[in-house]
Amino acid sequence: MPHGYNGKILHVDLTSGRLEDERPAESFYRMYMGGSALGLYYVLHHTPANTDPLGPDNTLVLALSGLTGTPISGQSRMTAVAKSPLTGAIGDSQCGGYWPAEMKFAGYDAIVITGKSEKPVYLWIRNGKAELREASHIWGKITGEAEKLIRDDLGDQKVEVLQCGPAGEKGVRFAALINMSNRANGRTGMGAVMGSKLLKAVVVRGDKRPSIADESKLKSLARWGAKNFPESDIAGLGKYGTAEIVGGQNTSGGLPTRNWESGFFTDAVKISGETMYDTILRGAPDGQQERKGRDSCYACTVRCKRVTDSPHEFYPVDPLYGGPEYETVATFGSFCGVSDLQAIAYANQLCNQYGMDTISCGATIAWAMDCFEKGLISIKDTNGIPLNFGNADAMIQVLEKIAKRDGFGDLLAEGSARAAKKYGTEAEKLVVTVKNQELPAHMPQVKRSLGLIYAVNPYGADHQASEHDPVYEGDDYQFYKERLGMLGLNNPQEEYSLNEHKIQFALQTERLYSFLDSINVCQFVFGPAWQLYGPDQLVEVTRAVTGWDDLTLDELLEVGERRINLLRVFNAREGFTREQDRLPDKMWKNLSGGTSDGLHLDKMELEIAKDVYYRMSGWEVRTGNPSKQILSKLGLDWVENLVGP
Amino acid sequence: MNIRIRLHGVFRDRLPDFNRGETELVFPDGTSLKQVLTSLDIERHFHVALNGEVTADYNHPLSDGDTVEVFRPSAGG
Repeated sequence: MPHGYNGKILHVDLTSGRLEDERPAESFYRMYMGGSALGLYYVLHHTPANTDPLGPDNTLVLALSGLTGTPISGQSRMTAVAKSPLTGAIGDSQCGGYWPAEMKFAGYDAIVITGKSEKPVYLWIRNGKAELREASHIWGKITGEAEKLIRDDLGDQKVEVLQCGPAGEKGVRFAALINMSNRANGRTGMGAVMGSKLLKAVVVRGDKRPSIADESKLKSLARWGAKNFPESDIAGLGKYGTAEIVGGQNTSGGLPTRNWESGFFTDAVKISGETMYDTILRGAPDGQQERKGRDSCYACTVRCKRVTDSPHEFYPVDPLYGGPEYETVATFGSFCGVSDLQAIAYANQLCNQYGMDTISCGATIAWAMDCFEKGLISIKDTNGIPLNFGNADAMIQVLEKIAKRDGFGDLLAEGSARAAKKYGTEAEKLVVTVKNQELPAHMPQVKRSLGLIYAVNPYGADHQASEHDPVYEGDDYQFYKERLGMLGLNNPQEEYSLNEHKIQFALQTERLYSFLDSINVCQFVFGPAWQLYGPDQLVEVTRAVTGWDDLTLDELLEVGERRINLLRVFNAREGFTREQDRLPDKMWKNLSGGTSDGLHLDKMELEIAKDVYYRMSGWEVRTGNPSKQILSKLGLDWVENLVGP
Repeated sequence: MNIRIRLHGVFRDRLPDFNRGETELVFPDGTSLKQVLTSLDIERHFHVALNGEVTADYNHPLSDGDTVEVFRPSAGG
């Protein structure tokens, strides 16, 4: 068994209540590494085609990797994989925090969950022993309350709890998995999948630290990271959080505003990470933000997580529920035209309490606001709530209705694409989704390769599936040419370009990011450009932990490519083709105001880019599906018959 | 000449805390954008907007009343 791994996978059949251990061979771990790639292996083996994502036959996999729980920054992450109730395609989502490391200490590399329980249960794993426990008394509780009940139940305040909140229990299609009450597997509705199985939580505790092949080497890499972090390009992330980028995004014309009508929000400063630091971050009143307002994941030096603490008559913010990331201040801020940071932080809290993806939730409300302003949705439809852009009270009221599937919220809980079908073509034209998943807060009009990646990504539009354009454009490139050169990326391009060199950039970085989601590391800590560690160091860390001394960057990229092909195969089996690799109508329309005034994408340019991308990937250009040749090259002969002729 | 400076994110720390990233500085006539950035110790991983327009013309001479905004190019989060 390679170092780093436990060598054990837990299979949980909730229908029968059976729990079984599997001990895969080392070759299996080397082929898939963990995380998303490993999860896909089990999903493809256990999930029948065309299954109901909220039915008992949908398999949910929670997967770690060999690096999880080792003493280096950025490794405590878990990937959840299942068929998505939001997109109907593969669902895939990562989380951080302390739960992933604790699951490794508890003795397993992955949990494969099938079936459906007769009544609410939670899975409890301690030091290699697993059992299902009664959870009827916890069902319906918000995450903070559920976590407390479980800790009291087990008599251990240090257990780590991963749960679906009430939104997942009610099948909100973009329900999230939440751990620590403030960390999320946010996207693609994995919380709804867990809720559909009447599985309330997975609770872990363990003492077994992973073995490390070369402890001295790993220690030296960890020390390098800690020493270089203060001067690194991610130092600002630590102090101001991801919302540090609000100002820059806005000035570049890339902050989605009023449901993507514009890339410029006049009040951007009011919702920035800097304003959060000055006002509602815990410790702000007495200048103690550094000590009280930042939180971390297990063993990570960056400490980028926010802790907000702000009493308020209507929107009190509790530190237990963390604080908003960039995506959240955008989707509940500029997307909705809201500049009230207190209200935005409260919206973040509600999403963490009920267990919902802040991106899809905020973006769905923004779509509804757009429809309301254009008279496509009436005040009667909204249960009397004046859902205008900028109305923070209305935004909060609707959010609570979504979480409870109450009234108008019941419709919005389906996501904006499904909700739009009720109101007709004009409402559907205002939807900003790919494969029914709402776009995140990075605009393809400004970062062109993102448009391609959003369109082709198998689990819908996702901003963490590839590197963003600025590092491969203009003067920035010179700082990253050594790292990007390791991926063969030596031809930086002009701003707003989407030519063959840019597509190669998109594809190569997509493969690296795909590996990052399989080895389950944080994409702020490891990556191809501005991150703390570069691709060469990623190889060194993986070698140092696993003892696979012959590992190369090419092999890591191949694992990433393997995972992308598995995602694509799953979707092909569900009937997805290149036709679903498309962008929403708003991408073709001029943006209004700010630096991006007048910018829009071109449909023909995207279709040509898709042709090039599929060809570079070794896929059939007509269908966008992996060819048998590429599947064989990647050792995936076992899925060939799933793709079709 | 007076130049308005607005620094986002980690660049804010180039100024005293009480400024909260914004201030007005005096420079000799003909000072270029690059010289302003150097005076603020800003050398890498930055983008600049001059009077609201993103620019890479760092040798551009500034005029009295110009606003220089500095921010970090962004990726995920």
